[in-house]
Amino acid sequence: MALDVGDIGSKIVTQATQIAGSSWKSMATAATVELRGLAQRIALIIEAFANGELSQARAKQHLKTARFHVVATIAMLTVMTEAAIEKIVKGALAIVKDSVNKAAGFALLI
Amino acid sequence: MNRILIVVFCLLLAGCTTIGEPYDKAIDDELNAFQKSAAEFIKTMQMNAGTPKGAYESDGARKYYAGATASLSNLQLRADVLSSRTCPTSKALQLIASTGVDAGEAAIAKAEGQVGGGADSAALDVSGNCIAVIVRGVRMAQDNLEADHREAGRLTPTVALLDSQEIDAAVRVALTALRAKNY
Repeated sequence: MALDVGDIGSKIVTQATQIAGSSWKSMATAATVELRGLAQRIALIIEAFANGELSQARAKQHLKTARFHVVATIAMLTVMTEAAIEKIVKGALAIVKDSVNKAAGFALLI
Repeated sequence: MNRILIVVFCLLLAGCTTIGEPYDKAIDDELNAFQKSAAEFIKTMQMNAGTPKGAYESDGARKYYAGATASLSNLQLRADVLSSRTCPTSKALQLIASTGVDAGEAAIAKAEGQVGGGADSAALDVSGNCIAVIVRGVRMAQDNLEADHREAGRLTPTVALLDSQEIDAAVRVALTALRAKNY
């Protein structure tokens, strides 16, 4: 059985598009949740400072933590992007392996 | 199309498909356990605020803070050794800034003005891999809880809510990042 390179390519592109779409949705949702939560916490810091529950030093430290949370969110999105790329690559490898083994008639690639 | 296939064949031969940090179940489990104990502790301290049981010096608080500090220190260690790379957060932040998107900076700057100035000038520690950076955020949230409790002697309602939300958010980010690699 001959190896259909065009068919393999089409399958890889279709699968990659699906993975990228679904990963993008997850990333957009996660980023929205974090930025909304951050806004709520900034309001709480101001409230706690205004009613005397937090000292100025403590309020500043909480704002520093808020700033760090933006960095942590960026790090999270970086990992999510890398995971999507990994899924695309692994999916492509599975398609190629399957096609090669079918064409060979035995498990050439394991 | 042929170029894509060549790349795929090369990857297949090299067996190279992991980018960045791998999934670590021990970190996942420990983060869950930490979040649960933190939520329980904050609720207990809030209910007992103003009594000896809700004080920073109470036995319950001493035990919790010692345990949480040890647990997060171990988590940081595990995260640090997941990979030796540096998470590209600075580049990503520059990229976001260049597009004009505000990722919370304006709100934080405005709040700093309201509390009478910015935080100390020491730069944020963004060294290490992405999971290590994220776990550092969990430690910062936990440190805030302890410092707030120590300073006031008890956990007041707004501060308890703030500390609880900070810990939840930091753990959520860590679990989301970690589990993205568990597929």
